[in-house]
Amino acid sequence: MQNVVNSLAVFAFLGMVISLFAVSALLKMVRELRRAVLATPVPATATVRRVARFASPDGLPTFVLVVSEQCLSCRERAARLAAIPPGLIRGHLTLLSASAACARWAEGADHIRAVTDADLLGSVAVGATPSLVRYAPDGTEEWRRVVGSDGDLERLLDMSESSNVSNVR
Amino acid sequence: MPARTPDGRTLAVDGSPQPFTMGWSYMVWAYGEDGALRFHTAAAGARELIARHLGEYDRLTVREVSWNGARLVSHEDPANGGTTMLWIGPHHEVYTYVPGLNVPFEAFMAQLAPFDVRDAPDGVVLAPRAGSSTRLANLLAFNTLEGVCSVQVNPAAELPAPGGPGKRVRGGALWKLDERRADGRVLRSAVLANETTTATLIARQADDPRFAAVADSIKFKLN
Repeated sequence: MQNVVNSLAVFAFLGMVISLFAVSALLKMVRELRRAVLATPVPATATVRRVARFASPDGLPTFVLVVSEQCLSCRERAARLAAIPPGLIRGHLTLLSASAACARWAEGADHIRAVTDADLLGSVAVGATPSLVRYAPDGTEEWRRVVGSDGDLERLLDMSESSNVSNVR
Repeated sequence: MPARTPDGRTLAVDGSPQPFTMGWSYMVWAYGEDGALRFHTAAAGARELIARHLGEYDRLTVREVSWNGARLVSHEDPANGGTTMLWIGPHHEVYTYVPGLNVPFEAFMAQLAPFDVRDAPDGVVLAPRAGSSTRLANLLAFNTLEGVCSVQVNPAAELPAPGGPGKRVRGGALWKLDERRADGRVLRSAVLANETTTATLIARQADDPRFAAVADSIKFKLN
């Protein structure tokens, strides 16, 4: 009887040692898998957004005010944008929205191009409206800012390149 | 009517002899990976009313934008160099105070991003999103009974109850505290503790019989 108990104890100990080996082998596999996952190259995403539609051949930047319909402040900003006399700002002014009602907010101001295009709005991808986005002549986005007041709109439109804010968070 | 607290619990009050002056206002701390942040919630437009009442609204720089169907408003106060950032939904608003001027809205959006903000008529809930490693704690609910007292409700065990057994009343155990101020006025407050809440009532008039009646009959329940 004593012999049986002794041999059982020895076998149990051996079994434990073997299972430890198994566990360490498993851990090694997990570690290798994790390393392999981390090493997989992430498909390169463009860090700078580019919208071909906002490229301009004359070398001037394009300011795009993105507005949405159910937004009082968008209406106020659009009205302020429409009140800017032509030629004051060196660049093209565009009002971008998804509904025709917004395009009418800038009616009468011929120097403002009103664009109604839900697909384009999606590719510009702003979080809050109204937002002002500045595009370089080749259509790359330079910066974007949420425009909270008419004063901010004026400040952003007059802003020189030196005080730009990065568009990528 | 039970009210929804920002952390998703229900605050029920009964036995008050008179209705509350307003809906409940709350203060809650959000503990995230990069420190703690204080959020206030109240009925939509409440912060603006307070600012107007204090006479500071006219000196504020107010900005507003629209974000996912809600209004984002900032009240920038040059007098103390700080900005109150508000999320205003259809029924309630959530606001926080950010030191500094010209604070971009993006900063506030980043503060709200760990939460799913759900606004309903019975209250606004800041539900932490899965994986944001954010939690809400130190809830404080505030209301007033017009002309009688102010009411502050904390979850039980977040505020220590006074020693002794207290007086048994309908809403739990009651302690009364009188403090004589320098000008001779008596400031009377009452602490009402039960299994779920610790409430502090501060009387407008120390010898008001309505205050004693409120303290004896009101009952708070938080689940």
